[in-house]
Amino acid sequence: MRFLHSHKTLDPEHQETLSRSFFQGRAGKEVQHCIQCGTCSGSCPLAHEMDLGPRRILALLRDGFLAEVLGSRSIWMCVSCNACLTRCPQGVPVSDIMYALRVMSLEHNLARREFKMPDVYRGFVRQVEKRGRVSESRLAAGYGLLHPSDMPGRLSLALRLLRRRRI
Amino acid sequence: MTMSDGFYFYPGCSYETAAGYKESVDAVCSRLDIRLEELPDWNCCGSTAGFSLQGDYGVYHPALVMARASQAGAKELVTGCNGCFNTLRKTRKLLLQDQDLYAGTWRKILQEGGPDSAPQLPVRHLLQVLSSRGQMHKSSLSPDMSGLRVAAYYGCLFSRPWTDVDDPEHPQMLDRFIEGLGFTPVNYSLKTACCGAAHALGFRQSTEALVQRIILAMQDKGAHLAAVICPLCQLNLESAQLSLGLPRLPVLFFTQVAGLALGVPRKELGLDKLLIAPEKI
Ligand code: SF4
Ligand code: SF4
Repeated sequence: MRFLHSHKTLDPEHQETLSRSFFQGRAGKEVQHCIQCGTCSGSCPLAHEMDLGPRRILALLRDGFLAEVLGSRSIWMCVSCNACLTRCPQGVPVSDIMYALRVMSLEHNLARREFKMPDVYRGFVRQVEKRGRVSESRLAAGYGLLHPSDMPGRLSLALRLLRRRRI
Repeated sequence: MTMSDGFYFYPGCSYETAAGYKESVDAVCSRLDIRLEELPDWNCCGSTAGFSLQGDYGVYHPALVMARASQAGAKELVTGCNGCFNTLRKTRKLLLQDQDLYAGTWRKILQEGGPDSAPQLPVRHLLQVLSSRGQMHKSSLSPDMSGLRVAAYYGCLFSRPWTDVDDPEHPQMLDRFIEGLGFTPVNYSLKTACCGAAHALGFRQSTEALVQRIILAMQDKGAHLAAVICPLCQLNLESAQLSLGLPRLPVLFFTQVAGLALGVPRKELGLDKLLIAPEKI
């Protein structure tokens, strides 16, 4: 399985428990309605950026490759645009399944630094919990400290926004 | 729109710093005799970050927003952000379909010292509110705007998956609004294509490619400007253009566009805050 290049492995027993708890939850139950038609992947604006598109994620989940899915970059590339679930003939809430997978992935420490979005979301939620509201510039600055190589391109934007009193 | 009508306005975190959104909403609402009253002491809805880290328990923060609104006596919340709109509506849907989640969320709000009021209520987009006043535009219009071709951009979460708001794949509300103001709406195919949302932070090249397709589609159909209904869409559509090296297309909030048609002085519409100035208008 060449495409599963980015996963960490779990021991079989751990994998089993994980799988059971996933399929007992709301997201896991929804996975079972998928008929593998591929409408989701065909509608996804970022499928080409994913190591696994949404249809493949659902196929792997049903075939017992939960740990591999949890360690994939794809579950973090979903932008929650809802194109898939609006068109899915089975009404599978794909973005909610992505959320459930993200939670598990973090719980079991399977997300890698280069997936980046965990840091964006953590920075965001930390602000909500601490200050009640979120400031975009604070968010971008916090993210920049963790991922400095993404920053040079954003700096000129920040200056332009500052000049127009938008920060 | 006052609290006597049963509405509160939920601005969300991006509203204040968005390029002239607040300015133009204030100016247009005052011309149309709509009084927007801000929900007191509101908190962030948590957006997709809340759901990404907490799954269904991400409903807590949006539920708290709605509990505050219920306690203040509102029958409805109105917001001008697609992200807030979707998060609040999604939360309401999850709570109404799962009694345990509903009861548990209410309990948690109480434990944290929050209000003892229903943590859900109907939510509308500001576009829906202004659109329902459609008729009054024509009478108060001043300049002739028909020479300006405007591309309505809805983004993802206004119509998806909310089939009750507008057609999820081919929404029309913003097009009709623009038309009602005297502009010529542009028919193009990417009105609900994704702008990349928060992924612009970590995956800029990927999201800029999404914006490039959208802007090119608009320009291909002869658009002079784009009208948007969400602060994050506005920021992404506008900022990506700076590095893409395309002919630039100004991206205005729908309320700025409305203000131009209503003859509101440009200063009052916050147009100077745009990164791409609408020079030809
Ligand atoms: S569109 Fe729905 S049924 Fe089809 S593959 Fe995707 S999730 Fe499965
Ligand atoms: S919600 Fe996620 S998986 Fe579905 S189409 Fe959008 S980006 Fe792709």
